[in-house]
Amino acid sequence: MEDAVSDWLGSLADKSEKTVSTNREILDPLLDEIGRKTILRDLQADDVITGADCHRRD
Amino acid sequence: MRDTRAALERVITYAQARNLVGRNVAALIKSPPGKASGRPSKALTVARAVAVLKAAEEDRLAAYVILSLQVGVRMEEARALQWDHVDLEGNPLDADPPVPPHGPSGGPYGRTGMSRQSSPAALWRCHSGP
Repeated sequence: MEDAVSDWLGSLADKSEKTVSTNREILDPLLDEIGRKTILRDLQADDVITGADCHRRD
Repeated sequence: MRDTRAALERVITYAQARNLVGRNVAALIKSPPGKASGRPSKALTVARAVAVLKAAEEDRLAAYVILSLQVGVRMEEARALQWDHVDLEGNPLDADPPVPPHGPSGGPYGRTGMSRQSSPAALWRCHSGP
């Protein structure tokens, strides 16, 4: 997951620094919840719901 | 949560395009609805904007008020205008509404908070008459 996020953020080279940092800040806590080392192919919808819910409560 | 899910969906879409993952699980999730009512708009309605324009007609700052309302320029932008910026030759009623190409803050209806109804084009039509 961490690599996938990093790859995507790296693809935003044409976007402003603010856009990239905002997306990083949005995704960082989610990565903590669903696990940075989680394999992208193994990610389930429930993981996303749980991760996003935890993020929302923080 | 909506922003988080949307960002994650973009991450996975990017990975999908590179055959790193088969399906986008973030796209399968519905975001919970937001609050039923957001912050009330502070934008002028057309009626109020027209009332301001009419009230300003006799004022020495009329041109400043009219320009600011119809174009949506900020105060500091309007104050910086000089006479040589003004086209005194043409008939303004023959011209298109004086809308900057992308609005002063980049949006098609001018600065954030300007309602569609009181967009420069709508005001122009109301204030100029039929």
